[in-house]
Amino acid sequence: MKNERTFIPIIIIISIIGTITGLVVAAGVTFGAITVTPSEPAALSTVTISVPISGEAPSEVRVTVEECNGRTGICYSDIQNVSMPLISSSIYRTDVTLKHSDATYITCKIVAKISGVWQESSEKRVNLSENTNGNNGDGKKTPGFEIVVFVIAIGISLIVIGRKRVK
Amino acid sequence: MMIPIMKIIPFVFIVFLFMVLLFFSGCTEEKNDTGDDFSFITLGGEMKRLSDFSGKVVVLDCMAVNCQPCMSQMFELKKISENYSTNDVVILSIDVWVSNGETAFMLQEMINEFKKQVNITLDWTFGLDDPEGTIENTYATEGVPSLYIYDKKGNIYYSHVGYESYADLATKIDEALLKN
Repeated sequence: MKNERTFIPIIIIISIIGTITGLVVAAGVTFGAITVTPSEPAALSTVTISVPISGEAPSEVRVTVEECNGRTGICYSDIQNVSMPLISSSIYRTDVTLKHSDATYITCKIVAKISGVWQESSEKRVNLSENTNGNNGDGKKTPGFEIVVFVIAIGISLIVIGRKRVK
Repeated sequence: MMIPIMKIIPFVFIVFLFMVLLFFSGCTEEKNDTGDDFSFITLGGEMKRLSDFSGKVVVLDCMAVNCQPCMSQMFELKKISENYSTNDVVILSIDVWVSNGETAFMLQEMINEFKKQVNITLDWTFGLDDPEGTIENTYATEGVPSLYIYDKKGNIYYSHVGYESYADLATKIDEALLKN
């Protein structure tokens, strides 16, 4: 997915998704720019998401946060849908803790309820910084590897103990 | 009379090794899994089941509209559509994020945009999961896209979570086609 041949389709894909989500933006409310702090958060970290909303005051505002791994090409199904309280003069803000250690980017979208109808903003994509916690990254483990070492150690120990007793 | 320890140790070691081998054999994934006969609603409003495509290799693409890798996957599925006859291979792209608010309208708009923006006709079967997420909870618990290849008898021959290239999918499709 990293080569040049996928670069152009990715641009097209982003515009397709943007067009689809843009279709439901209605008059009466204007979503400002979505701000994510830090601008390049780490996986599993907590991010602060804020957005100004002008026009008709929404009765409810929420943010959806989708985590994806661009290397393996997967988006995780457990999308977070978090309430955003009004902080000050049309600014809505909330904190969201990311859940996937191998996510490489997130996409955020704001949804606001206006007169009983949900309106949604365009998406904002945020790349995550590299996870350097020393994890295996993809979390894969070799099943039983530790047991093999344990068994061999037990075997050697028994042999050594047995020889000492014979002496 | 006590059995000398030196005679017991090798026996105990062999028993441990045997138990480890048994453990490893349990880690192998059995892929000859009979998939359940799931049902879904097509964009045309028709209810379909997996068994409706019996006798053909089925490529099940559990996808979502708000999923960039799923959109990339469409290009690879298009190549399958172009290189295999529908008499042999059927592609089913099922939106499994209905529980996350995705709708038939959004799915149809996605297909329309592919035609409009890149002049690609996604000419295979598209459908939606039920609002309870039955297909998602069975086949796409980890994420999307989740891909499955069923053999002609409806058994799951291959599965993969995440984007998969046409080349890799074609290899598995060819194997499934040769399988009785």
